[in-house]
Amino acid sequence: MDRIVDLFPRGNEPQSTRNPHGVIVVDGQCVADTKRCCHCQGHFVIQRGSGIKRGWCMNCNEVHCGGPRCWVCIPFEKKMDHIEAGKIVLP
Amino acid sequence: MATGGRTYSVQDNVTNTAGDSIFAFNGAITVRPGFFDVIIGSSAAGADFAAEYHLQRMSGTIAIGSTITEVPYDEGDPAALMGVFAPVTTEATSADDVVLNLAINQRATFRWVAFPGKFINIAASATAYMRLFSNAVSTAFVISATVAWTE
Repeated sequence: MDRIVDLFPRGNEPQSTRNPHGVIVVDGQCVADTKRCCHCQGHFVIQRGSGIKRGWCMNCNEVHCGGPRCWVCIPFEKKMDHIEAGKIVLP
Repeated sequence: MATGGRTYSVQDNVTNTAGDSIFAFNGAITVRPGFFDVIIGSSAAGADFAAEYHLQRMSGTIAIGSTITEVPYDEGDPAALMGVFAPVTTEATSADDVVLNLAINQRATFRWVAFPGKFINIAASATAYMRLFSNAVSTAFVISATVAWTE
């Protein structure tokens, strides 16, 4: 096996994507791949034809989830650095 | 601050009452935990009950509940720095991003795995938390939930 994704047997017509960031397995079979948002780190399944708007961040050079706060580029690593430095005070 | 190499998991059998957290993870100031594996199943008699779970970042006041002991994957590792509570009696007060949304039927065993480098992290802060939360259920049932992370 060359790829970690090959560890999980594929079910019928899984929601697959190139270079998946995660996998969803139901009853032992992979049913979908997930992608991780570069801004919030949320994992989501890309569903073709769903009409859900995702995006591509030209700074991070990665896909983002299309959530209302993720259209502005704030890389998650930068967010965590600010939280840890006390520059962002969590409510 | 890099994510360390120690891996832990917690497991519990709980009733997935809507509005209750299954696990609450309280952050530590010296590590950035990265969640990479969630397994949810049920050993109850098969029924077509639906449930929705959120893996969600939280902030605000610390979650309070019964401390649950994590299991290190390497027996030589020390106890995890991140605190884990199950059940949760007092939730952290401020809900943040839902980073994983799971809709599951009771009959199915569900597993999400993140590949290396694509884990879901929380900040190394005493006010950064994560919870596995039962957002909605048609009829509550007992689930067996496992969450794994690295720190």
